[in-house]
Amino acid sequence: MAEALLEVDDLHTHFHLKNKVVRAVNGVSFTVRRGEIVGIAGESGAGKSVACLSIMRLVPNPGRIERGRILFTGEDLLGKTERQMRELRGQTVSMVFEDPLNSLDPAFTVGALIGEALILHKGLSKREAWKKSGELLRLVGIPDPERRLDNYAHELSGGMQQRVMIAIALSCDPALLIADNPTTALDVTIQIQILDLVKQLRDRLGMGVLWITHDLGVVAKLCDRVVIMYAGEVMEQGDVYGVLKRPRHPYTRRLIDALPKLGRPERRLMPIEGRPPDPAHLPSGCPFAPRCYKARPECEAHDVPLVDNGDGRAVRCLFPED
Amino acid sequence: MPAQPALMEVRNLVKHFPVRRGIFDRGPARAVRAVDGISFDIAGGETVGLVGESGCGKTTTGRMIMKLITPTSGDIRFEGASIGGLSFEQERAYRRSVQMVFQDPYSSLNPRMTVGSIIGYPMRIQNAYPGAARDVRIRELLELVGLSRFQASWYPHEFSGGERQRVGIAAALALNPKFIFCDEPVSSLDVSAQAQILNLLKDVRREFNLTILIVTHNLSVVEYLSDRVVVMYLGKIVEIAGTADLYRETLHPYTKALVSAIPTPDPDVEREREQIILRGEIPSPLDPPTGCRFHTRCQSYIGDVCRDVEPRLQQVRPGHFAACHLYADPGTATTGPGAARPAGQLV
Repeated sequence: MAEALLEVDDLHTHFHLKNKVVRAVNGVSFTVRRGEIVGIAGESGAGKSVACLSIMRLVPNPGRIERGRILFTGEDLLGKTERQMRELRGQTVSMVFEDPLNSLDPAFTVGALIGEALILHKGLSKREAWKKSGELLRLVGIPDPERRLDNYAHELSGGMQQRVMIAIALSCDPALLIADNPTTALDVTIQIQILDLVKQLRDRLGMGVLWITHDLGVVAKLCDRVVIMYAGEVMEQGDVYGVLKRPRHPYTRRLIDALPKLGRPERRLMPIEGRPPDPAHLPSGCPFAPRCYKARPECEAHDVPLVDNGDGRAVRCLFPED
Repeated sequence: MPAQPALMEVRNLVKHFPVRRGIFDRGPARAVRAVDGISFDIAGGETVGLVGESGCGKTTTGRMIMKLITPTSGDIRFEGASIGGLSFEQERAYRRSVQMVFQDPYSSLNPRMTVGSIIGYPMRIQNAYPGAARDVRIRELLELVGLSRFQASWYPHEFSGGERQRVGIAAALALNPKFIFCDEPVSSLDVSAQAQILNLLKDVRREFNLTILIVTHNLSVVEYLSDRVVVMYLGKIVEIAGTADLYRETLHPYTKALVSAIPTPDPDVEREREQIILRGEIPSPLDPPTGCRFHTRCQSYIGDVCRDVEPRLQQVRPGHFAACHLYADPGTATTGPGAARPAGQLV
C-alpha cells in the first residue's frame, strides 16, 4: 500500500452567521494515498466542497476551521502561515473548480494563465514558461496547442476550458490534485475524455487525486476509493467496488436505489423520503436517522462513531447492512 | 411505428439562427444551423425522449413545438393540423392542449407569486375553472403532485428544488393538456428529488394518458421514462428506436459512444462494457462537417463516403431507424451530392 499523501482527521468547519452556526463539515476523516483517486460523493449541502476548501485553507468568511488535523506528507497544514500555504497552493496541491469560465481570468490569454504559475513557482523565464504551457496543453489533449496559447478563455468550448484548468493545475507537477465537480457542466462524451485523461495522468505522474462529485456513476468510472458524505459527516468509505456493490450504510444504499440504471428501466425508482437536515440545526445522533428505514431510538440518542472494520471499509451506522 | 395515429408530426423541420455581422465583416451571411431538416412522429399516449449533447438542437425542436420560436421551414402538425396556420381561437386551444415543464425550478417560478396563483395563472389566462372552482382545482393539483393543499399560499422560496418542480408540473397540468414538453426536468435536482420527479411524471402520464416529449442529455433518465428515443447530433436525427432496442441493439456509432459514456453506478457494468472515447469536440453548428456530420469524430469511419455523402435516415430493422453508411443498402441509400456513386464501392 502506497504511503499516505493527505490525511484529514476529525475536521470541523463551521460558518458563524449572525444568529446561528452552520456546521458544514462535522468531523470528517479520510486519507488519500500517492497515486490514488479518491471520490467524495454526496448530495448538495453534504459539505463536500467545504471539506476540500478547508484542505486548501480557502474557506470563505465567516467560515472557520474549528477543529481537526490536515496532514499533507506528514506536515500539518493548519499550522502553516498564510505565506507557506501560498507556496503550497498551485505548486504541490492544486485545485480545479466546477465552473471553468468563472475560474479563468477573462483578461489574460491561456498562455499567460498557465505561464503565471510556472514563472511564480518554478522561476521559469517568460519564454520557457510559454514553451512549457504549450506542452501542457498538448498533455491535456488540446489539438494545435501553440495556437491556443493566444486564445482567451471565452474563445474556447467548455471542454477546452476545463482542460485548460487542468493544465494550470498540473503546471507545477502537483503531488495532489483536488477537483470540485469539474465535469458537471460538460457533455458526457467530453466528460469521459476528461475522466480518461485524469486516469492517464495519475498513471503517468503518480499524483493523488481527490475528486468531488454528486454522480456515483463518475465514481464508478474514475475512482479507486470513495467517501460518502451526508450532512457534514462521512457515512461510509471504502473501495469503490465494495461500497457501490454492497453498500453497508442505509444512506449509501438509498442513494444508489434512487438512481435510474441503464438496462433496468422497469425497476421503479426508490426516492429518499424527506429532506436533508438544516446544517444550522442538526439532529442529535445520526443525521440520516430521521429518513432512515432502519432507524431505532438509539440512533438519535447519541453520536454514532465511524467504525473501521480493518478491511479499509468504514461505516457510521449502528445497524449496517451486511 | 406504433399503431396509434400520430398526435404530433414533425416534418422536415429546419431552424437557422442568423448570426449578426459586425460593421467591417464583409463575409457572407452565416447562420447557426440549430435544427437542419428533421422528421419524426409522436403517437398519442406515447413518451418520446429527445437526446443529444449541447448544441444538437433538441431544445430548439421542443421550443418550435411549443410555438415559442418560428421554424425557418418545415411543418409541425398537431392532431393533423399544421400549427403554423392556426386562427386566433385555434391557437388558444393549441396552447391549452400543449404545456411545458421547465428545466430550472428556481428561475421558472415567479418569486413574488404564491404557488397557488402560479398554478392558477394558466387557468386565469384561458378563463378556465372560474370562481370558486379555480381554488378547488388548485388544491386538487397540489395534492396530485404530492404537496399539501394548505401550501397554496406559500411562496416558491419556501419549497425545496424537488417541491418547486412539483409546482411546475402542477401548473403544466392545470388545463388538462394532451401533450407536455419536459425540458431537462430533473437536471438541476439532487438524486433523491430526481427520483421523486421521475416517478411523478410516470404516474401522471398513466393517469391522464399524456403524450410527453422529454428533452434531456441524461440517457438513463430517458430509458426510465420513454417508449421511444430520438437521438440528435448537430441538428440532425441520427437514430430513432424503441427504448429497449436503442440500448440493446444500438446502431449508430454516435449513439454507441453516447451510451458507453454514460457513467453508471454499477462497477461490474463499468468494467465489462465497451468503452468508446470519442476524439475531439462537437463541431460548431455554424459550419457543420460535410457528409455525415459525425464523421470527424466517428470511431467506425468507413471512408470517403462518410465525408462526402449525407446518410439518409432509413429503417434498418422494424421501427429502428439510423442515418449511417454502415447500414446503407448499396445503390439506394445515398442521397446528396455523391448520390450517383454506389456507397459500397467507396473506400
